[in-house]
Amino acid sequence: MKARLLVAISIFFAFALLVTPFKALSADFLTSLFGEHNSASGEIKPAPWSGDWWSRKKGFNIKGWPGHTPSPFERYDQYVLGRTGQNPGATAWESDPANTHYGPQSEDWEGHCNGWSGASVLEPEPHETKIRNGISFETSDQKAILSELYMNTYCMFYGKRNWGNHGDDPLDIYPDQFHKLLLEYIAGQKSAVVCDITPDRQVWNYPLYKFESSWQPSFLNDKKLKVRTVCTYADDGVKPDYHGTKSMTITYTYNLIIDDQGNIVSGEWTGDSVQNHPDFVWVPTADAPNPPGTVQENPNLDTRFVHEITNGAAVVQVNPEALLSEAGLNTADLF
Amino acid sequence: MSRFSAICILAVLILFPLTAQAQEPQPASGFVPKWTVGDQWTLQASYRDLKNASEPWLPPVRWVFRVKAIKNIFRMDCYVIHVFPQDARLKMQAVLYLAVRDLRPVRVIDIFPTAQGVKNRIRDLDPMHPTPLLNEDSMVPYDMPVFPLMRMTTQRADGFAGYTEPEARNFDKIATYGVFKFKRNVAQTGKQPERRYADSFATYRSMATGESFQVELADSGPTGTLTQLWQEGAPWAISSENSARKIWLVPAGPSKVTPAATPRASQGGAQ
Repeated sequence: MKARLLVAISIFFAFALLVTPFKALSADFLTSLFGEHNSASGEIKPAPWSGDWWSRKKGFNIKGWPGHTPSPFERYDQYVLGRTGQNPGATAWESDPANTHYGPQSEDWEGHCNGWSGASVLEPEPHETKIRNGISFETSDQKAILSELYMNTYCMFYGKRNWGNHGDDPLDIYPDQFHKLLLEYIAGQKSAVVCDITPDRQVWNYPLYKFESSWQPSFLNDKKLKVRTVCTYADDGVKPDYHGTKSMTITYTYNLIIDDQGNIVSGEWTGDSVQNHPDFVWVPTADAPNPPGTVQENPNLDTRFVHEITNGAAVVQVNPEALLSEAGLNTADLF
Repeated sequence: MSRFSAICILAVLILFPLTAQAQEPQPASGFVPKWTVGDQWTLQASYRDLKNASEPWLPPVRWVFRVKAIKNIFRMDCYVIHVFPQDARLKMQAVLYLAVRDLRPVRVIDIFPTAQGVKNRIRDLDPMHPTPLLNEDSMVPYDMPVFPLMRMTTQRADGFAGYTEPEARNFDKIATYGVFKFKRNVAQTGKQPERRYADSFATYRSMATGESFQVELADSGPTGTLTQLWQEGAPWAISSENSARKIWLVPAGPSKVTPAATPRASQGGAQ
């Protein structure tokens, strides 16, 4: 018994001696890069707002829902009719299955989550009922028309969409790019970003507004950083009249690969994140008009009237230099 | 202080500006666009909506480039270019500081919208190690290669095979965020202008004369390869395109712009 114990202790110490040089090397190299830093975080405040994702199958935005009629689009049509004397036909267009925005046969996951995501990142949350031309627009009505307005957005796009076709890369977006985006946009206080959180054919867009990352050196590889990142998303699994942000979190694990100069050059998803990671990331920058001949967005919904309803009449600055001042820059210093 | 020390300090003070100036890079011969304060041009940019079903091309945005001033930044005279959209509802702009000598980017200011108002981000770039300017995090189409662009007349020719494509110039672009440095490679290749771009060049011949240049900027990152056409006499690239963007210089005078790619029918509001 005593002999066995001695052998076990010897093996333990031998193994410890064997791995110590690797461990020391790993720690030294990475310590020289990161010092005592082993975490990073960021949060955009206020967070993007939660709202319904306006399922194609249910058609709440055109039919209303129990206790809420007329529907958001019917109210919009009434408002524009009162303003212009002409019904814009937003409800009629949205209700036509040929336009693919409503259809009882639609797939369960199809809806307006991209429109809601864009609106929740770029538009302040509607907090109160607005009475316009005698028509009441509750916050749910405002969120519904904003979500339609942002079905087309100009955006920055990262990664490649997985269409489920042969050759599509199921590992894209890669974690080094994802980690960079978190640092750039969230830690850098620029903007929330929108992620399609499923790497497969389906698209589930959610605004990501907070992350907490921690890392440690790989045990045997001094060029590998093992990272664990908890991302917080605004959730759309809420009732249309929900106020504020209902959050959900997803934890991702990945390795960042470092070259001899300490630069991150690639990355690999690890653990469950190989199967469960974002497919692509986009950052909305502005509402975009509908491309001619397409049905991505309801063409009978006018940006001007939507903003009249949600914000009141807007004043558009004609002088481009005024925007520089609005961004906190002094034009006398710039030019 | 001894007299010798005083002389040494005086000598350093006198010679420092000269040595500093001597370090300022001298451009090789080749093509570098030249501007004067007050110059203005317009680009028309179409963007592909890659997040949506059928990836349609969105209606184009027109961007005005205006040379506002020449300012000295980091001991270099720089053009200050204000870039803004014609449609004032778009809350995106940029201010570029490009060295007069060879347009190397020295400072870039991006202005962008958020739900809490408009914000700005200022990036100071290393003027001693110029790299192609790629707008990876902005819609403003300010992509540009490292100048000067090599002229055909001075490009390598072996006398037997005739024209030989020059080798790519490789640049490491390093983006630093806190303790993290992300590296990617951008290769810049000057090419003999391809025949398929002949119409593009012809469009601008009335406003510009001289040599034509085709440049490819291949990015190991997500943006892929950007092909730019530069025409001597035109203030900016007459065409820039990759898989997600198509940008044209709007000819001065009556607007005549190559249309964006024909939009395909969308599959609707895919979630």
